[in-house]
Amino acid sequence: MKAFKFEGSGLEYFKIWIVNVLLTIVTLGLYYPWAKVRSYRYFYANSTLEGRNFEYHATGKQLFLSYLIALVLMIIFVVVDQVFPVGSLILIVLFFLALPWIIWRSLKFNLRMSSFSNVRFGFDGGLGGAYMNFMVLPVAMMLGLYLLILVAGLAITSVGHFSSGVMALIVGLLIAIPFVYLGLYVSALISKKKHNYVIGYTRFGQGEFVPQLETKPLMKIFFKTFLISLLVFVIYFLFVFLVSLLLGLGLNLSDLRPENMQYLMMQSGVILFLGIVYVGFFMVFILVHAYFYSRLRAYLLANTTLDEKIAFQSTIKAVPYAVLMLTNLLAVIFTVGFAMPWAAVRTSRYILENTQVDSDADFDHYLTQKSAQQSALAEEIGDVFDVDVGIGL
Amino acid sequence: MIQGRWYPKGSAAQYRASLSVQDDLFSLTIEGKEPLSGQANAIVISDRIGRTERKLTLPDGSVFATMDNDAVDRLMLSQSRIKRVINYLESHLIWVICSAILMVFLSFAFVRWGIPSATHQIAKILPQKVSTVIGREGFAFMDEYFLDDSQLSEEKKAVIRQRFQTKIAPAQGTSKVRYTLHFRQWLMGDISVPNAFALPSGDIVITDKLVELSENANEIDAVLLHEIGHVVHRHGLESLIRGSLIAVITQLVVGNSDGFSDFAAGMATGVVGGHYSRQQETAADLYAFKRMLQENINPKYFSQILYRMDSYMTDEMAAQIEHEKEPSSEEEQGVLDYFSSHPKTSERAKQAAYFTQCFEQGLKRCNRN
Repeated sequence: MKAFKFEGSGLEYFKIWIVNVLLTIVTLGLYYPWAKVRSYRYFYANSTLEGRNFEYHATGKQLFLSYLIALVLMIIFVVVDQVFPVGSLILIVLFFLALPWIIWRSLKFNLRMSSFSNVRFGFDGGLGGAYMNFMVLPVAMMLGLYLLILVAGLAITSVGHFSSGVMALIVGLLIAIPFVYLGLYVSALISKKKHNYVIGYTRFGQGEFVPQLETKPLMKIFFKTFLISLLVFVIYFLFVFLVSLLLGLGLNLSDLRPENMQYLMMQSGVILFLGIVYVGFFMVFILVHAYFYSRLRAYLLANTTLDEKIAFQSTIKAVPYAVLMLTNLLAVIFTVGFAMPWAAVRTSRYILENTQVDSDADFDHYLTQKSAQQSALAEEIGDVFDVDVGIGL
Repeated sequence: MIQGRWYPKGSAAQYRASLSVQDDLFSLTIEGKEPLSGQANAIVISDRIGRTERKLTLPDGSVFATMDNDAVDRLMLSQSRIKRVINYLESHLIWVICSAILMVFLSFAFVRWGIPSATHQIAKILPQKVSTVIGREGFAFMDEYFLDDSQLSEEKKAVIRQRFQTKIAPAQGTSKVRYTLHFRQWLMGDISVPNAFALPSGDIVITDKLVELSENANEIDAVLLHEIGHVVHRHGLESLIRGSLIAVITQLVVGNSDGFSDFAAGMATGVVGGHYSRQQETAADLYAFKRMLQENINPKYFSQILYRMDSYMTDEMAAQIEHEKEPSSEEEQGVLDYFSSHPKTSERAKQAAYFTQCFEQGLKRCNRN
């Protein structure tokens, strides 16, 4: 196995970034598509594997019109949201219905605009698959689970009263176990299908990526993430409780209700306390995310090949990755954003250096395939509205 | 001679190659392949970005890639001026620093002057009809989710309404807005909230608790004048427009959000929003004080009712926490921004005291703004 390298530097990217931001401000946002292309190209071109690098091919001009349309949609949404809060619900539903289409078109566009060693990527998945994996299955799973919990809840309450609270708790926990199991199973199944779709239809030239994923190992990742979240949250709440005692607020956790906030805000030390609570919550989130991301990525890469010949590997570890993100967060906060380029470069470097490919991989015979022109509309809508395409790699 | 690598069209295979240009012709020698040549100006050269590899697409679609950026730049005769400027900015540290400083200044100027003036201009363009529609919608929404019918006696309401129409509301014909007074009860958990608010349509709502807390009609007048100030200055509409502007800008700036930029943006929006909101309150206070002088009402009544509302809410909140009550299901956090979005009561009282001096000297005007 040999690892990718990232050859950019924080200072060099800082220069590109600051000019981007400045021109975007001066042009009231119109320069944004060109700025985006410049930073994408910087990151792609600096990602290398033994003298071969990635390249981003979209141009600012190509993105501009789509960006304007996305901007207009965004403004309509915000105005409706501010003026008729109820009307925005309809827009959210419409947006939700369009979401699989946005993800699908973004995948097609972004992969087509990317190349490695002069050969373009591509995405061959159909729209039906996108609707299935990004809408039908997740919604069906949620509804199914809620329905089951509802039915079980009704059944229990109709069976009778429990003589003691402890008894009720035990029964409740016993009933929760199959639901947790079922929830994990269905989540893993959906995750498997989704990644089979996204990875399995990704092309490199004429080459095909072949995922061979199983439900069981994915379930294990989900289950461990669930346990870790539980543990970390318990520690977090204990910590918050201790801090509140230390600051002499004498609060119970149950005091942290919205209607009490106003009163609490008037006490000294509360601001500090809320700051700790807020930052602490981010730390918890980062820890859980780092674990899930590193494990999922390792599993996906280890079980994917290019044409069943070239194997991959991810060696990202949860703790160093969490430390990286935490230090990034602190650096960005304490420099009011100016450390953002440095943080982005660090992250890219860590991720690439922990991504490996077979050392005898031979790319020479790959050839770019013909493909229809792709529109950037969905990609720009996704960008403006912050849609996470969720390739997870 | 520029050293680099050559890729056949659309292929991942690489060959060591070197490029030289003489007059209008280029020639490329490729290791183990036939050399290529052609018109130099038919080569498409990618923009320079940092020290990254440069791609030169040759007329036959094959690609020559090289790290020798400076040599490529010397080749380029037809590069557009804008691209040269961008690259010049990026590669000269002093300009980068200038850009950073300029950026901070521009962002500040944008928040300080850009957003308020854009807001003001848009609010001016929109016809009063828009305010009316928005106000009606907003009022219907509040009625549905927060407000209950007033429990005040009809006589009491009639007295206040009478005073409002004859003395407080600007006379018909002097403005396009029709001012209407509404009485409602506002319950938050078990607490009946003393409050008053104005909608852009000219509908002004006063809660039962505020009427109960007031010790005389002058105090109610003071509060209502403050609310009319919001309508006169079109604060509701401006808030909506400003909210939209800030939301769009935040969304765009945060762009590729990864959690922590959201975090920073959230804090910034809170601070900026609070700043504008306090400005509006101060402006509405000023309007109220000026009108009070004209209508011969002592401005001290404004700070009196303000202090009473403050201490009432503080006591109620404290009492609620001690009782450890179950939270009710319909509480709404937006309501709680009320105080934090307002200037400190002591600051507002100071302003009131200043106008009270004028009042006691029998002046109809006070020299402040």
